Amino acid sequence: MNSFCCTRLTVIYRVFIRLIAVVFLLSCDATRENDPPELTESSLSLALQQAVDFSVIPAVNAFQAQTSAMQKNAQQFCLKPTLANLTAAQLQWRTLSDSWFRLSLYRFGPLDDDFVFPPYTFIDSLRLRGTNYTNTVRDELLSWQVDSTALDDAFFSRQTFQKVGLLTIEVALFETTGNLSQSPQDIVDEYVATARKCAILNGLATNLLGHAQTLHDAWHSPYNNTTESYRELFLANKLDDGSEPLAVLITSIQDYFNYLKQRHIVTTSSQLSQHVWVSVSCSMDEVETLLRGTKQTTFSFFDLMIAANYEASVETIEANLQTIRTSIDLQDPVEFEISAAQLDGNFKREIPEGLEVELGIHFTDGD
Amino acid sequence: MKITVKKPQAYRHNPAANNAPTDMRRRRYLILLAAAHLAAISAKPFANKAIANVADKSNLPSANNSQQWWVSAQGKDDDNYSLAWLNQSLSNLQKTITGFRGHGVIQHPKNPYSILFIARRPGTTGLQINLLSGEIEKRFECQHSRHMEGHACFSKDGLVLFTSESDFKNGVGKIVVRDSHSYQVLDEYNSHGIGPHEIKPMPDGQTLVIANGGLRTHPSSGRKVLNLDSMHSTLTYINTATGELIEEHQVAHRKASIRHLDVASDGTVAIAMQIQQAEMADQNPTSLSAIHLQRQAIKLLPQPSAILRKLNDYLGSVAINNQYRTVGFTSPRGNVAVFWQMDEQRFIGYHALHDVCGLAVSPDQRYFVLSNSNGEIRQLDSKTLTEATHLRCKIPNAHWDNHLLSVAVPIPESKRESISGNLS
Repeated sequence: MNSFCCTRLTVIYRVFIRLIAVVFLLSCDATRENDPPELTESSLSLALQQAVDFSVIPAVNAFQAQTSAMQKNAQQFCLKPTLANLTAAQLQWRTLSDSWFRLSLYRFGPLDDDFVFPPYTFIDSLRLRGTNYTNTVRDELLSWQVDSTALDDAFFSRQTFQKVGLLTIEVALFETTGNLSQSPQDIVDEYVATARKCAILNGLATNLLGHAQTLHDAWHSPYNNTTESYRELFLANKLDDGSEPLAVLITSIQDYFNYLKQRHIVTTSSQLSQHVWVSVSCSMDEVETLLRGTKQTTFSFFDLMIAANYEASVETIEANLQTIRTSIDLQDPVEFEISAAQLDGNFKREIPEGLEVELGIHFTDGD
Repeated sequence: MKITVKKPQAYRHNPAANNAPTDMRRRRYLILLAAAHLAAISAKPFANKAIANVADKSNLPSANNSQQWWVSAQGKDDDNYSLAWLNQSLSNLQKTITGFRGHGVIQHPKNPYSILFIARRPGTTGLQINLLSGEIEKRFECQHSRHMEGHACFSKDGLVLFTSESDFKNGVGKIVVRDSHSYQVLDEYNSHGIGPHEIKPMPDGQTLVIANGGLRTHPSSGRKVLNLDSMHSTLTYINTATGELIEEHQVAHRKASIRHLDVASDGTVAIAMQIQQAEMADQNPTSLSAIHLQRQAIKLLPQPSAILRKLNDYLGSVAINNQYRTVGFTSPRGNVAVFWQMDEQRFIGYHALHDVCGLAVSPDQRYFVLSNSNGEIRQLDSKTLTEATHLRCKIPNAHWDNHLLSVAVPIPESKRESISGNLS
């Protein structure tokens, strides 16, 4: 009897322990990748992690890779300044621009970690306020070409943001410094006749690669005197200023649409290469991927919004994305800016509401 | 820069105020002023130690019998808009739900526990809220076809309240004069501009300085600006007894809207502007901060171009520290507060904080206090501008609005415990 009781008690005890364990496991909020989408803190964390790993970091990596390819193309062209090599370098600049337009959505963290001299301005001077510095660049290229200052790394490092980056490389590759000719043969001839122009092109490409490499390292290696990469700090909610990472990400994209709308980008950027429409199209690819997810994504932001009964908001955003696509196809700057304004609004209202995140955008004109 | 200087003239009747005959209206005004004065004399004992106003801190309670409180409009939606306040221990947030979004808040000069909460444009309501009980003590509304512009100030003697309002039918800025006890309208002046926003009394006690933003709106179209192409912002000084224009100034940049101001004890006015970027022909940044002395031109404050670009065409608040003669401005769009030494007009530093807008100087002048829409409060040493990080705080679910008010609240010895109890 006693033995039976003991055995029985042991069995009951074991069952009880197992039940407790099951209850404990079920009560854990950790979301697994094959769980159905549901808007919880952990599913949002997983969606954010996947957005970082499948969108943001690939954009950082691609920009670094394309900048590196740009440097190689510049070297190749300078070693053998032919029409074919110029065409290859110009093509590479366009690919690089596309990768920048994908990355520039994520203007936070290492891209914007210097209050006075934000790193992104040294990549794209236009991004600061939409000021077109093409004439400044032209004057500067001419002056660099004729004077005798050593065109080494230190020279390019001490230049202000207006004089380096994508725009300066574009001007150097798509027109002559002498008479602003855009004829490829004239450009090749000028490079052949002016040794310093090659040194300038190589120096600019190396300088840009430096910025891209720093950015890449920040996302992958210990960042800013910590033992963790920016990716780890970001996903662990350990940002310097205490900001919420998801709010940072959404605000950054909202700010990008505000920039497209307010600074007339499609009529200002990449004018010599005539490539801006392709580049903004790449930006939209990036936005769509971020919201809809990739093949690897299990929980996209749209999935979570739909799970939280914000399907109508998702439909609105999808419609606005379609509208901006149409304006890009038609190369219509007016419609493009109207659509960008609508998407700016979606990232201010519908998306934060659907994901239950506070952006901290509170103050408007006239306040 | 255009300067118009007019000598103050005798009392001028303003027919737009109401239809009562001048003498009768004037008589009623004087009777109400006398009544308000009597009411003030018979107020609670500790009310005698009230802060008269920002421009007159002679009645400030001493440090050992007062407590510093931070007060601000707060909230993100209709259900949560409120007046909220914190004591100096940076704990125990209290709030009174208001049902509408407020903007400026000021302390009543006759009762330091009473705070006036003014509706944001195009709201029409003002509330007097008691910090001890949390109750709404008084409520007043704009007259027909007027809306609030978000700010108000008391006269130096504390007897009348001035509110900045707009006659939206005619697109004319108004300064409405109310009795500080009953909030009954006593008179109404032209602001001599469009869209008057922040207003403050000058140290002489007879002059009011007005930031006329120059932006015309109409409640039927919400906050949409209707005159961006022709906007005309001015800084005006008017006689508080008559409404007569004394001086009018403007800055060179036609799309710069003078929105906020503060007045130093010597009468130096610091002004904060916002640029209407949509109407600008170029993308060049322009200075948004300036100082002004009466009978002189407005002087834009110089700053490093990198800082200027960072401000993103928008300043939201300004506060002067009289002890160190420094002035701070906040830019929520630039996520930064910026500071100058006023007398030397020298840029002295900045402090980055996400969506920072509220800015105040602690009553003891020791700190610049910053607040943001994420419920954070930070305090910067007024002399060195370094942050006192041990005083940093974040109130969960709080969203501080544009303006932060620091007040010294006298605490009678006998009441200290009960006040503390109320707050917990």
